[in-house]
This record gives sequence, C-alpha cells and structure tokens, in this order.
Amino acid sequence: MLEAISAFWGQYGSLLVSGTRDTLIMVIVSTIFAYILGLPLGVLLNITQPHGIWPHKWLNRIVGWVINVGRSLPFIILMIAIMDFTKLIVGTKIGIRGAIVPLVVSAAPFIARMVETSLAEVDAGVVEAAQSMGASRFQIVKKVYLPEALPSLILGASISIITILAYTAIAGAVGAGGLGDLAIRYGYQRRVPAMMWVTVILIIVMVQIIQSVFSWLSTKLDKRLR
Amino acid sequence: MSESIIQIQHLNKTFGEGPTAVHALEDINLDIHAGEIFGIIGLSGAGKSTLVRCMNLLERPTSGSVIVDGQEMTKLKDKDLRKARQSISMIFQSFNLLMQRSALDNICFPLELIGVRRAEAVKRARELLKIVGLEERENAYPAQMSGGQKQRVAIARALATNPKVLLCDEATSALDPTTTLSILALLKELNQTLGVTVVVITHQMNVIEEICHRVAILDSGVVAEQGDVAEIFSNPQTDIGRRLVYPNGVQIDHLPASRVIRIAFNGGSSYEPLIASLAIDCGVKVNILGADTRNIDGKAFGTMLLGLPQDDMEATRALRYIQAQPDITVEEVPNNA
Repeated sequence: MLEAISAFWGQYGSLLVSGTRDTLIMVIVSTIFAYILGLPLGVLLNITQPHGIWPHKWLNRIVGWVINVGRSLPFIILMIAIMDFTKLIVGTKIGIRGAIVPLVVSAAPFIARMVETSLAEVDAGVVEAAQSMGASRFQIVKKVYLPEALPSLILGASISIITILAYTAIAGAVGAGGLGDLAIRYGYQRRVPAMMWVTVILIIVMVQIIQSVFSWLSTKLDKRLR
Repeated sequence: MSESIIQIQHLNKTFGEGPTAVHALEDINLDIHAGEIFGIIGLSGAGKSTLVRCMNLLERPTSGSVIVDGQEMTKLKDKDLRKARQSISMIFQSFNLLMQRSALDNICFPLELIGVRRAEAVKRARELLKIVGLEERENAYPAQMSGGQKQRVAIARALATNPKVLLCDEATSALDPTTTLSILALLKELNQTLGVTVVVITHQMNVIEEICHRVAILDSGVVAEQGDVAEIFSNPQTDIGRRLVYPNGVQIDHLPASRVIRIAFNGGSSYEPLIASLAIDCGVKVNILGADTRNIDGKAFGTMLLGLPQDDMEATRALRYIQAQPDITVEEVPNNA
C-alpha cells in the first residue's frame, strides 16, 4: 500500500503540486478582478433602484440587463465565445492567463447579484437615518451599506469563490491547467483513476476550507450576534 | 422664545398621479417656535410621518414652503440641503442605529460625515453618552442593548452635531410605558438645558400631555386644530380632537346632562383612592364615564372622565376637592349642560 502511494507520488506528485498551485492562482486572481468589476456593479444596481439612494430607471435597467446576459451564458460557451477578446486583453487564449479573462467575465455578474442581495438586507431605516444626518450618497455606500452588509458580503464571497473554483475545473478542459486539467487528461484520457480521485479530493478539501474560513469570519465580524 | 424656527406654509404632498393619487398632506400651515416642544398627533395613516419628513426634506413636498431656521428647504441644492440637515436631527421609532458599530461609534458617525477628527469625535461622543446616562456602555453594540438604551444612543447621536431642531418620529412607540417616561423626561431635559427645539410625532396622547407645549392634531392629511396643549385638552373643538383627548370608548355624544370633568393623572397618587376618598371625605358620588389609566412603577398615569352629581353644590365641592389633589389636572368638559 505504502509502496503504491509512494510510486504514485513519485510519478504524479509534482504534477499535483503545480496543478493545485495553478488552480489557486486562477481562483485568487479571478476573484480579485471579478470583485473589482462586480462590487461596483452590484452597488450601482442597488442604489439606482426606484427606492434606492440614487434612483435611475434606465441605468438600473441597462445594468440589470447586462448582468442577466452575463449570467445566462454557460461558462464553457462564454469561454469559447470571447476567445478573441481574451487574446486582446492578455495576449493569449490558453493557459492560466487565458482562463482568467473568461473567469472574470463570467463571475463578475454573479458577484454583482450577490452584492446587490447583500445590500438589500441593510435596514432602509438606517439608510434614512444617515440621509437625515446629511450623508452624501458616496458616504452612505461607504459608511452604511458596505460595513452594515459586511457579514453577508463575506458569506456571498465564499459562494462566489467556490463557483469560480468550479469554473477553473471547466477551464481545464481547454488547456487552462490546474486540477481540472489533470483530472481530464490523466484521470479520463489516460485512464489513471487514482489521479481522478486525488484531484476530486483536493478540490473538495479546498471547498471545505474556503467555506469554513469565510463562515467563521462572517460570524466573527457580525456584531449583531452577541 | 416665540421666534419661529420651522414655518410650514400651504404644504401639500401627493403620492402618485392621476386617479390613483393619494393626497397625504393638504394645505398644512404650522409655525413652530424656537425652544419649544411641539407635538403632532394623529391616528395612524394621518400623515404625521410624511409631515415630519417634509421638515428635513426626506420627503419632497409636492407644493408649498418649508422654512427651517430661515432657510427655504425646498429651494436648497443637494449640497446645501445636506449641510442644513446637520442642524435638523431626527430620531426614529425603530432607533435605526448602525448594527455593526458600537454605541460610541454610532455617535461618532454624524461627526465622521462632516470630517471631524477621530480623537475629537470620540471626546464629544463620550460627553454625549454621559448626558444620556450610558457612559458605561460605550463599547456595547446595539444588539446588546435594550430598546430604551438604543433610543438613548440614537438621541446622543442626533445631538452630536449640535442641532437646532430634534425631530422625533414615534420615538417612544416601540418602548414600554416605564421606558417611554424616561425617554420623555430626557427629551424634556435636553430641551431645557440645550434649548433644542423638539418636534414630537406620536399617536399617544400621554406623550403630548407629558412634554409638549403646543400641539397640532392631524387628521387625514389636514391639521384639524392646533394650539396650546392645555387649551386643546380642556376644550377640543373637533371630533378627532375629542376622540384623542377623551378616554377610549367614551361616546362624547351620549354624555349625561350633568357636568362632566376630565381629569388627568400625572404620576402622583393612585386613582382608585381618589374616587373612594371623594365619596368618604366629601360625601360626593361621581360617575366614571370612561377611563384610560395605567399604573407605571406604582404611579398613576392617564385620563378619566367623570360625571358630577346633578346638585350644583355637590358638584362644585367635588371639583374643588379634586383640584386640590397633587399631580392631577382637572378640566371641565364644556357645552354639556
């Protein structure tokens, strides 16, 4: 048994390490860029609502429409559809860099909706109180909406990150690298079932860690739970 | 004292358009004096909350003028309006504290908005916590505080920018009677010590009776009557006025032919001995026509409507006796002979 494990590790160990590393890089970089795009979009979607702090019918409709389009495309189709755009942005259609662009494009609308939902949970009365004190719209977003919704935003982030992790595995199918790539190339095409199971277990472990850490953080930072 | 701080002229507020439009407020005229405690009372749906929100332009009036501290609020640009709001604070029925901030940081909030340095803001917040009697709770979060404590923090927060006006939108409606009294006492004290003008929106008559100098009765978006609290209480001119002033369930149209008095208990002797001692000490039997009284911490609050005996001598004797009691105010219900 031990010998088998050691033989497996000897043959595939470095592949697994680099695969895990690639997956982590894709997830972290995509999450950061997807939030840079998705967070302001989600805020915009919330504040331009009819009863928001900056009601703006058309802007709200346009942003909502763009987000819905982004969300209705399955990731694998979107990835192929925007390949030229991907090349324009990062100079390549493949590899980790080639995967990050479609990951961001696909996750940003998802994140925007998560952010919008989190902000909607903030008590309208608190927003009204801030308005009654003469807070500007920017101050209300920065000092009321985002801090008050923080625990919910953190829980939303865990869902977003796990979704991005799942997408990286799909991106592996078109040569993006990472654990998904290993599972397909070795586990499926080269018929190494152990490789398939090891990658699956690694992904499960990652999901568990992400979820536990973010849930813990959300609870720890939530001053309502005391 | 009689200089006006809030002047509302011909104010209308309509929600929606066309046949489905709702006229929330119609031709409201109010003149609130600097330094007074002004009450606005009405049943739910009367338009009280809309009216108070027109004073700081959280609701924009459909037409009419709102002048606060000499400024025509409806004409201010966004930036100037925000500046004006710093001197018109507001507290709410549901407190509306920031749940993720401690008591201290909630009070610092309005100061942060105007760029006050942290150290200075904290110093001011501690002073205010002391004023509202919560200096021990500066690190507590709203979720750890009782309703009364939360409203005290909200009051401290409202006072942070040294406002000239404090708008109270049903500020005691979510609180129990004992806490209500303590919050009202605090508002009264702040009015006296800081000179801040207080506008109280409520559906509870006892709130008006407890702290207000003048009152406006709002009914279906219209000011039914307004004037000194004592006058309105002793002689309400309108149906809605009578409905609010007299105890629940009394049919004003069906009062007996004899003289009727309304007595208000302001936290002194308990009410049962009064009626009993009236019979024993004066030998006068009175008829309780209606009562809405509460026992708060062993003290009597509320109102009672009494029918005096037909005999004029007896009636006068009873009246004198009641008038001599501490913490009880008596008014004769007029036009009832």
